[in-house]
Amino acid sequence: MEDRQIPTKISNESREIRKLVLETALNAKKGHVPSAFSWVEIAVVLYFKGIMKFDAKNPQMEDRDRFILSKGHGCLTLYAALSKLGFFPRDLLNDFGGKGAVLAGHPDTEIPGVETCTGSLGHGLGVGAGFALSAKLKNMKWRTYVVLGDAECHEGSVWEAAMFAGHQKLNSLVAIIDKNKLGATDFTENYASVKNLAERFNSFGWDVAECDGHDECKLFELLFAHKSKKSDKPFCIVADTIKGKGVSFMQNSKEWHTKLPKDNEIAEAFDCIENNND
Amino acid sequence: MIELPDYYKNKDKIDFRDATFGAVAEVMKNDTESVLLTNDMGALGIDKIAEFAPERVINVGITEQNMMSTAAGLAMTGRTVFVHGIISHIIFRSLEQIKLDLCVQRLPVIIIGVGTGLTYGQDGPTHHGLEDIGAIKCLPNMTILNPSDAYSADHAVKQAYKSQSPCYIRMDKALLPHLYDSNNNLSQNIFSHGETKGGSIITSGVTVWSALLAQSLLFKKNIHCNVIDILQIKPLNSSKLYSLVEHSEWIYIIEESAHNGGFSSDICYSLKNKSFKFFEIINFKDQYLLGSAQREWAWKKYKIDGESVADDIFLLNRG
Repeated sequence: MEDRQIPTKISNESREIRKLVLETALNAKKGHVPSAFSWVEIAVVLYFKGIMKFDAKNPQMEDRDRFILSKGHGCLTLYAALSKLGFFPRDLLNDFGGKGAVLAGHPDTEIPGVETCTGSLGHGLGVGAGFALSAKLKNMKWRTYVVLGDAECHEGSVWEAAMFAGHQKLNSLVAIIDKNKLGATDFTENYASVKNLAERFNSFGWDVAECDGHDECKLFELLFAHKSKKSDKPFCIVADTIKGKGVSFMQNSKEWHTKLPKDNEIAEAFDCIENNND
Repeated sequence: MIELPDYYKNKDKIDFRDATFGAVAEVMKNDTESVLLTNDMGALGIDKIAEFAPERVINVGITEQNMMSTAAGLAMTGRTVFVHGIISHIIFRSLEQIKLDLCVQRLPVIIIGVGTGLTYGQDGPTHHGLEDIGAIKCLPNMTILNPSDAYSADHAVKQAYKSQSPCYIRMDKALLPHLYDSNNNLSQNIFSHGETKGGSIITSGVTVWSALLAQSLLFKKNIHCNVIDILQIKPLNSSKLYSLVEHSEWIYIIEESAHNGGFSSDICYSLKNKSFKFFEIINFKDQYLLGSAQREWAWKKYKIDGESVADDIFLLNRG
């Protein structure tokens, strides 16, 4: 366990999303809940606090901002957010992972609001670079936001894309690293460290910032400031997060990557979320 | 140099790359949204495109995975994207990006791979294009075009652009004469040379020239056959193929590929309900060619050159 205090409260939106994520996973008996929980505040700020431009009733609106969840296994948070915003009916969550269901364990483009298929790690930043390059060639104002996992940054393709975006000065591209410090089986520090991500991105020609990834105010401040900033560089936020954030016994644990609460743990998990008892 | 039948020996030779990128230039002049990405792989034709569209010709560096993902992102915003590099690198290094970013989403990205078969035979297995068809043909939504001359290369580019879906054009570097011209209808993506009696030699890409040489040598021995050029490997025009071999007594397939890396299994599947006097497949077997597999040397060694093919068919006909 990491010796660290997160000073922020959980907002109503993030609490609701965590509850939806957990309900959906328990109903389907599947899902990467801790990976979904670690980026909830990032999703809330992007989708619910006015950072991203979109129209839930017209998901293909040409000048929308583009969002890619490159760590596709964290999709339950995306599904919960999109359903709350009206991209698709809430009922679809009840059928997550079902026979022929629209919502699978990793997102694809059949889902309204999903721009590209993700789930195999290391694809999102390159696709996002393509979006941003197209915007630059067209002189369009849309922005592209890509959320990556820190363990995902083991993939070489992430650094190919980072180098390309830095060189091409794709300043409408924003990468947010959900730095929860855990891969699927262990802490990254124990098998392939991804320390100094901010320095690494900076050396690839990016503007960088670091913040508490559960502090919605700070995330908002950084993302809002970037919208009016005149930099010619892409922007990377290394967001320090906790895998499983919101449920005490799931937090910062390598046991829960795909494990779901059962029996008494279920009530305890919802209690944690409801009462910020993490 | 690939050995040619007598009729073609004194014809002007054209570089596949000039024809291919000439067609790409035509497309990119008309479609000002289209983009060409390369992994630091140059060609004279690319330089010419960069003269009129410098901002749309982008060298992404030796980053094949990123090149495919970026191409997908560009295509998702309504652009047609050409992607160019050496076959053995851009197909295998970025196979997952081709599958997930391009094919699953059926995006208009046209991969132009240079180095079919043993184009780079002397550069070792890192540069051979002997397995790529096998790797790519299993991907739904992907079209594979394999031109055999400059005219069909031009046709392949325009057909791929028209499809607005993922396409893979295999491009050689050989200097070869025109096999086709505007009098030939290539719209069925399969073309038969010669009379449809006797047998059929079925092939694709530059081995068509082996087949044509074999055909001319066999004719002198009173053995008749047509040469069927598969210009589009996937989807295969099976009904047209079937009609072209309807009266054939035998089938002989030449592929410049590893045993499971080519198109012969698709031909077998298409003709599974028909019986022949013999049905032979010649390729490089299930192996890697280590060392310097210079193309003409390797064709002779593995008997996919025109003379060896003619000799083999002659013996098979004698039973």
